[in-house]
This record gives sequence, structure tokens and C-alpha cells, in this order.
Amino acid sequence: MTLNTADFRQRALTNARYTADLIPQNAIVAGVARSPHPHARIKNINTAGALAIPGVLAVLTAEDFEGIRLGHNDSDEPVLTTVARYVGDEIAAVAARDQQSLLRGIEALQIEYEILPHAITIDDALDLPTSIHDSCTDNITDRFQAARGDWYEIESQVDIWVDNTFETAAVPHAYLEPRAAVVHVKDDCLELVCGSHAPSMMADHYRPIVASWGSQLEIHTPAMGGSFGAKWQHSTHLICLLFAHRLQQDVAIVLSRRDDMIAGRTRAAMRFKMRIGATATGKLLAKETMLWSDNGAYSLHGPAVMRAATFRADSLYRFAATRSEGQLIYTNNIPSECFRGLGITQSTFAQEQLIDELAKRLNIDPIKLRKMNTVCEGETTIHGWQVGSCGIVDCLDSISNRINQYRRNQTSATNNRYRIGYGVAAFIHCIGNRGYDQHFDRAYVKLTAMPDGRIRISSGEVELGCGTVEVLIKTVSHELAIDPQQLDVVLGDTAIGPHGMGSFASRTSFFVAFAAEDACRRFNQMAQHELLQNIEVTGIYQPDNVVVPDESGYGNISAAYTFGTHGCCVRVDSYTGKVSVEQYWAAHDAGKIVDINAAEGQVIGGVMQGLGYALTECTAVDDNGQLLNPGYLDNRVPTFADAVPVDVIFADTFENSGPAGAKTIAEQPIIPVAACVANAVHDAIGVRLNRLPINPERVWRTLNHDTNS
Amino acid sequence: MGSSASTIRPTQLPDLELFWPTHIDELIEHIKGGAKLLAGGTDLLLQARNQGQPQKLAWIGNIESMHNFAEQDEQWQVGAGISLGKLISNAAFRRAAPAIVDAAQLVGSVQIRNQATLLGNICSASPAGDTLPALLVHEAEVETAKSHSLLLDDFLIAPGQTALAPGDILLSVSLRGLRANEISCYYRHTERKALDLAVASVAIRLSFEDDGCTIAAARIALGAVGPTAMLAKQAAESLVGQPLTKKSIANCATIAAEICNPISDFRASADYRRLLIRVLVGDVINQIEKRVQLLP
Amino acid sequence: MNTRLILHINGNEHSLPDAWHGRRLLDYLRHELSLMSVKEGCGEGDCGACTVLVDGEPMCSCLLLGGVLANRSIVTVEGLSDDHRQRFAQLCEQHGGLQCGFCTSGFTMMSAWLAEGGSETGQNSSDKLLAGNICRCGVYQQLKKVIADLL
Ligand code: FES
Ligand code: FES
Repeated sequence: MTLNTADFRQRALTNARYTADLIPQNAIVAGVARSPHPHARIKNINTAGALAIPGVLAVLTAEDFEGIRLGHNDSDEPVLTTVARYVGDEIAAVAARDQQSLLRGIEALQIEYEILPHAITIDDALDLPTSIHDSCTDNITDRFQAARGDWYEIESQVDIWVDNTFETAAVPHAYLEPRAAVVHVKDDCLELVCGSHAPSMMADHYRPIVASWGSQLEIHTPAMGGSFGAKWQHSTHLICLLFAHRLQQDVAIVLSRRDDMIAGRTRAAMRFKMRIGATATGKLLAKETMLWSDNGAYSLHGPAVMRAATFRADSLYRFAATRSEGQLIYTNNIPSECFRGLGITQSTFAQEQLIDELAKRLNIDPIKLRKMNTVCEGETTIHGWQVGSCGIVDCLDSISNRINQYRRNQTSATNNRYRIGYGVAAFIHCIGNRGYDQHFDRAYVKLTAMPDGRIRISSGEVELGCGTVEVLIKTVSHELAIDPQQLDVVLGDTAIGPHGMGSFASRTSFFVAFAAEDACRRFNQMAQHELLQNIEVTGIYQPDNVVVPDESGYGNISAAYTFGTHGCCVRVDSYTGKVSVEQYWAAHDAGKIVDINAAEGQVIGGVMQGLGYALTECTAVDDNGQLLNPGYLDNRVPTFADAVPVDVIFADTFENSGPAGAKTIAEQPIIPVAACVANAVHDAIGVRLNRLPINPERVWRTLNHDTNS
Repeated sequence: MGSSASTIRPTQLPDLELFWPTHIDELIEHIKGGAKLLAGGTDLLLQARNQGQPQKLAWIGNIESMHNFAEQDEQWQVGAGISLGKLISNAAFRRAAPAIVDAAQLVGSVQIRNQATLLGNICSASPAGDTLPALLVHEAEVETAKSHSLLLDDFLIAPGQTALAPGDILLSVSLRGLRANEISCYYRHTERKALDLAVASVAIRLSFEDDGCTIAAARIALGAVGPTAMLAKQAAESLVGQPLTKKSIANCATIAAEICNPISDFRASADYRRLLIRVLVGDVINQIEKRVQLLP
Repeated sequence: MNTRLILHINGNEHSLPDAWHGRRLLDYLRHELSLMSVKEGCGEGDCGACTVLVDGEPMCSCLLLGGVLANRSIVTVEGLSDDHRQRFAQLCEQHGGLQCGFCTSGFTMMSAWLAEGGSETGQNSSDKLLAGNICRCGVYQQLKKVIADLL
């Protein structure tokens, strides 16, 4: 089977158009003045010099966006700020006729700062004499606690504890297409064109703002060059919208790679203190987690990410009691945002290393220890998740088999310098989460019979390369018994609708398929008594077994759960500490696989990103909050030469609640990678790498018991 | 910390003023007028884009005499206009200067190597510039318009700083190709397999006696462990007059690690860089021994 | 200086307007000629999304000034043979050689170069030759198959 869809073909032929390809010739260009200081109050902005430059048309400052905030739950990010909270924070915006005037305009702004004490690390923030946001005096912006089971009773049964502290690094999403936005002025409507994985949600947030200016808003999403969780609300959108509204001309902004990295988003850096208790025979009993999450300067999805990281990974195993506490801390770093795997990627790095450690201490094979303790089909996990299909044991077995086979054929044995090691790590992940938003597990698909006889399928969801278009075309052509050539798909266009939550939490294809089925049912019904050209129906899907979890996160938050196990073989140069991944295996339970090519692509791509996260990526910041590596050269995302052979295995499962038995595969592949590599490194050289990235110097220092690693 | 700059300068290339001199005198006039010499432009355009300067460039593509690339009596002349790609694809040059080709092949990507020049690499005078240690072991001398030639070692002064006088320009570099019984090699340590900057690097050229194993002469140069690429003379001398042994190699590596002068930055700490030098010296010599076996 | 510069772009002669002498080829191709296959992923020579062939050799159009390309031939994806484009796209479909597609132009250009026998020393592995083209979606393994099938 191939990924043969019109959309894919257009991208493959390089005919697809991305935001920056759609800028009208005469568009006004916008740009942003960014703070060079990590924390400073803006005392004064003199815009006269900028406005005097020929070609400069207008300047916006915080006053123009009074009372407007970006963010989901804890809206705390101003569009333009009066207090700079990280290096790169947006202070003013300039609109000009051309790039050169724009550059001169931005440079001509005179901004007076009052420097404030700043915090780059979590510890600094907790000790900071000033608060980063007035509303949050101790810089702890969110706290979360969850406790399950009878802790003291269970604790008394524990024979062995393993514990450690783990630290993960902030990394940029580093999507290849830098952020861009175009606003078209169409009568009394502003049309925002930008890549986003959640256009309807953005429109919900922006519409009242644009309405207060007396204008309407539609959002149109063209092809998007990667998001991975980042391309959502952003100040550049509102800046362009307001310029377009004021100047009544089309406006465009395109960030440079450097600016995109300086003022983009990152995966939150986290510190875990975690311990796991078990019986002497290897039955897992208790897990305790304390988490500090570096929120960066603004919240965005920080609270959701922190909560997920605090406790969700527990559900993989049958713990009898858990205690978890999380804190979300403001720092003067780049704001964090969701990033493939939410916080689970971080917490799995900690949990799966502890499981590995326990296996070593108990002298039980790490695969066996996991098999003894993972949840099973039909069970309810400690956090109230009702597990439907569950292929975790299959996944563990296939990884075990692959490793054993590989090991037998392995010729390059460990020597004094190069040490070979094998590691595994497992995960659980949900599909959607009703606790986050009421729309989260609801999806809509609209079918419209067009005047020319074709059928238009529209959805507020977007195509991220996971095959959403493919799923829609397949479902509709099958249900309506119609030639796929007769179908058009429009995604993420708010003018056409319907509403769509967006591609979060690997939810899209799962929900869209069901909504499309429902739409087809309605379509066929109507077709019995209506002329074809009058038919427009919207199908809805919402799983019925899902609840809004309670305050402590308890409840069945997802219609189905996905599982997986990864394994890898590493070769560690014990002289330099350099880790090379020689072979990688990824076994996933994603339900019945609809499109094997797309599914494998997601896995291999996710593993590559995970290897970057594990080994080389980080945002390096100096004491003054200046980003030292704002580009692909120094922030080392994997290159072609770094590609590792990845063997993909899918467990043979069928999810009754899923479309055609499918679950999903999107975020999942990145989740266990860092833990898997760390476990293999431990196997190779006998020391535990509890900080990311696992770069050569850190490995070398750890190996030499240097505490500064 | 002052609050001098109002904002971070947006990354944007200013409109550049471009000149097309056709001979060297004309080029020098432009240089005196404040223009910078534009050859490949891979560093210069980045600089202009990130810092707003330079804004005037004099392109040497039309000056034929700056595109010489030829050998005479084992001396290779490489003109300022010659791209790294040209060096790499020249089979005779690959035989004559393996270390330089090793290094050139590690710079950027194919695309960048087709644009960037060897002399650009020299002028950038980055402590981590890959070709510099390799050029040092090949006894490179640079030639400037004011017609004196200067040892590369004397030309490199500090990060981004060279001995080029204001108004002068670099015309070419000459380097000594390998003779019989000689081999050279360059290695570097990076975190990624490609598209990276050297954290530490080592170039070595060894000359063997006719017996094929006693070292007659040696040159060792180190990169990214000091303000400029540097020759490690004592380390090289320690190898001379004896065959390579595990012990002599280890001794040489230790000396190199001792005499280098690295700094700590976000890419690596000073002591880790020293360690890398020690490891790399051994690795390069091993590689040279392998290459010796392949010699006809 | 009244220099008339002629660039041969995708087989057509273009006289480069003075204003573009000191600007990037990338912007000229995109803004003036609407050759939108050429993408800017970094503007720093690190990602390869802007790759074009200059006299048959791949270069980063983000680091080339229009004014240094007089009389040279420049090819973008739009100027490749339809055959090659279709073949590359079809292999990408078969192997999953792209996800978001933003890197695809760069890889298409590199594939065209390799298909014409492109190499630095006559014996480079495609791994090294393609290392200047970043795919953040990470489909290198699939692209390897695409390239292998193509050659
Ligand atoms: S845009 Fe030219 S290399 Fe990235
Ligand atoms: S497919 Fe997205 S960057 Fe390659």
C-alpha cells in the first residue's frame, strides 16, 4: 500500500505551498523588536526615530494590545510586553514597505530598560528576590499532586527501593519551516494564513480580539513544514492582524531561523526525583515522583505538560501505590510548549531507567521484569485508565527476540576501548485527553456536495504528515461508494469549518475516521430524500467511555491507549565518551495498522528526533540568558549521516473502540528513545546517565566519576 | 551588563554593494575603499546577515590570476578563488595533501564545499577551522598582494584575526605536497557525524626513513585547543628517530595534550579538549599507519 | 556601474536587475521569479532546503549573491525534467520519503545531482553527500531507499 494521496503527491512534487510561498507581492512586511535582556522592565520606548524612516509605516507597542493575552489555561503571555521575561521577548513591532526599511526601523527604536534580576535555572528562580510575573510571587505558577493507594501500607511491603535524580534539557522543535504568517484583508474580514496544528482553537482565541477591533477573522492553513507541537498561538499572528487592520493592507512576517530559535518554543527542561519500590521477587509496588518543570517565561501548555509528566507514565505498570507532586516554575528562559510526547517523553526517561536499575539490582532480565508488571487488556490502571487492547507483552517479546538475534550475529565484540551495550524502554500513551479540553476527544467532519458533483470533505483538523487526508479519503470513498478521484479534502480552514481541536496528543486520525463515518451515515440518509446538490452534513464523533478526570487526574481520559517497547545497541567509545547507536528496534502497539508506510514513517521519524533529544540537542544558554546555539549548526539535530537503522515492528492488536481496529501512531515513537539509549549506555559502561543530552563529554565525566557531569 | 542595544538585531542581510574588479590593483582600490574581498562568501554573508557588516564586497570571480591551482616541484599553489570542492575532486591533490582533503571534506556540506574557499577558511581564522591544522602540517605559506609570503603559523594571530595588513589581500596559499615515504591525515572530534564544528582536531604528517618504519620527520598541528590552530613541535619531535611504538605514540599524545591551550565554552570544557587531543593523536597515527600500508 | 548580468535560470535567460546584484539568489528566485520550490529553512547554509544546481553543482542559494552568477546556469526543481520529478515523487510515495515536505525540494535537487553522477571524489557514500540536507521529520532511512532505487 502506498501513501498515494493528492496532498502527498503535491508535496512530493514540491508543488505544495507553505505560508511564506503565499505572500502577495505588495504585502507590508512586519518585524519584531526583541529584548536583549533576560529580565527587564521597559521604562520607555521612543518610536519617533523609527517612524521617521522612509518606508516605515507603523509601530506597535504593548499599549496596542492592552489586556490581550496568549495561552491556554493560564493566559499570561502578552503580545508585546512591558516587562521582558526572556532574551528575545517581543517588545515592539514595526511594519514597513520592504525588508530594508523594516530592519532600519527596528534598529531605530529606542528602548530604555530597567534591568531586573533574572533566573536561568529552576533553582535560581526559586531563590529569585523578584517575581517574573506579578501574579506569581514565588515563581511557582502551578502545582499538582496525586496520590493513589494506601502509601504507608504498601511502603511497608517494599523490599527494595531504587531512586535517582534525572534532568532533561530544553530543546527546540526545530521544524524545518520557520514561523511565518500572512494576513489578507478581505472587506471586513481578516484572513490569517499560517501553518498550525490547531487552527480552530487559535481562531476561538483570536476571534473575540479581532472582533473588538470591529473585524472578522478566518484562518487558513496551507502546507506546514513541521510543528511537533509548537505552531499554535503566537504573538506574530496578532501583530500581523493588527497591522493589517490598521493599514488595511496585506501584511506578512517570516522569522529567520535564528529568530525562530531565539523566540520560538522549547520542550520543557525537567528535573525528577523519583523512586520505585518492589518486592524481592520483582513485583512493583510503589512509585514516588517529585517533579520541577522549567516553564520558561510564559505558560502556554506548560501546566498540561507538567501534569502529564508528573504521573501519567505510572499507568504502564501495576503499582499498588503512587505519590506524585509537580511544580511548574517560571524562569527567564524561552517559553516551553508541548512537544511530541508531551511531558511523557521526559518522565519516561526517568521511570524506564529506574526500572532498568531495579532489574539489574534484582538480577532479573529487564524485559522479564517489565512483563511481570505491565498492565493488561481489560484492567483499570492506578490512575483510572481503562485499558482496551494492549500489545505491550508482544512488543516486549519482539524486542527481546530482535536483540537476542542481533547479539548472536554481532561480530564487533566489546574491547578495551569500545564497549557494546543493549537497552530497552517501554511506554504507555493516551489518545486525546478530555481533561484538557472538552473538544479534545470530539471531532467533526463535514461533507458537502459541490455544484460540480464532487464531494468536499472538510475538517478543522490538519495534516501533519501522519496521513489524515488518507484516512478521510479512504473512509469516505468506502462508505459512500464513490471514486476517490471525486473527493476533495479541505483541512484547517476556519471559513469552511467545521471546528477541530487540532493535532494534539496523537488524536487526529483516530477521531477523524469515526467522525467521517458518522458524516457518511448522515449523508447516505439524506441522499434518500434530498437532491444530491443540497446535501451538506457534519458528522461527529465522541467516545462514550471517556470522562473528565478529577482534580488529581484520576479517570479514563482516553478512548484507547497505545503501548510500545524500544531496544537499541550502542557502542560507547570509553576514551572519549562518544555514543554511537548501531541498531535500533521499535515495537509499537498502535492497534490495527491502516497504512503501514505512514505508520513506519512516523516511527522512524520519531526515533530520529528522539535520538537527537537523547544524544546531541539542547538549548545552550549563558549566565545572561543569551542563547548560544540558535541554529542547526550548533543545536545538533540529526543529519542524514547520523541516521541509524531502525527496525519497526507492529504488535498485532485490534482496538474495539478504534476505527477499523486502529489506535494511533504519531507522538509515541519519540517517548522511550532517551531512556532506551541511557539504559544501553549503562549496559555498555556500567554508569548511569541521568542527564540529557548524553553527549560525549558528559559520558566521559560520568565514567570518570566526575561530579560536574 | 549595560543596556546599550535596544533590541536584538533582526537576522537580515542588508542590501550589499557589490564590485566586480577584473584585476588585482582594482580589487585593492575597493578594499582600500572599505570593501571586503568576496570569494565563496559562506562566512562573509553570514557575518553580514547576523551583524549588518560588511556592506561592500568586491568579488574576485573575474580576476583570473586568483584562480590558479597548480603544482610545481611538489609545491601546490591554491588561489583565493579555489573552492574546497575543487581541491577534493582533484585526484592528484588528494594524493599530495591527504590531510587537507580529509579536513576539506569535513567542512559544512557538499553545497558549502562547492562555495567555500580554502583561503576563506584561512581568513576566517577560526580556532576550529578544519583545514588550518592540515595546512600547517603541509607547511603552508600565504601570499599577500604586498608580495611577501608568510608562514601560515605566523599569519594566524587570534580568533578571527590574521596578520593581514589593512588594505592588503590574500592572493594564494602554497603548500608542500607529500614526498615519497610521507603520509598525512586529519581527524576531528564532533558530536554529530557531519555538519559540525571541531571540538578538537589533529593533523599529522609523518616522513619515514627508507626502512619504512623509522620516523625521519614529523609535523603535528592541533585545532580548537588554542586561540589559533597551532603546531605541536615538541610532540612531533618526540617521534623522530625511532619506529612508532605504542609507547612512543602515547608519549607523543601526552606531550600534545600538555602543550595545547584550550578554553572552556558551551561546546566543551578545557580538560575534555585536552583529553580529546590525547586520543586523537593516537587515532591519527593509527590511521597513518593504515595509509602507509596502502602506499604503492 | 552599468553591468548587465545575465543568469541562465532553468534554461531561460534573465537579466538580473541592478537592485538584485547585492541580494541573495534565494530571494531573487522566490520573489522575482516565483520559483517557490526553493525553500528557506535556515538562511545559514546548514539545512539544504534552498539547494540549487549552479553549473551542475549543488549550492546553497541562501549564501549566494545574485551578482556573482553572471553567465552561469542555475537549476531549481522547476527546471528539472518532468521525468525526474515524477520518478522522485513516486519513489517518495513508495518509501515514505517525506512527511511535512519542506525538505523535499532540497533532496530532489540532490537526487538530480546524484543521478547525473554527482560525487566529490567518485566514491562518496550518499550519507556524507546528503548530510547538508536536514529533514527534521527524520525520514532519512526512507530517503536512503529512495536514492538507492533512483540510482
Ligand atoms: S536555507 Fe540555505 S541552507 Fe538552509
Ligand atoms: S519531511 Fe519534514 S523536514 Fe523532511
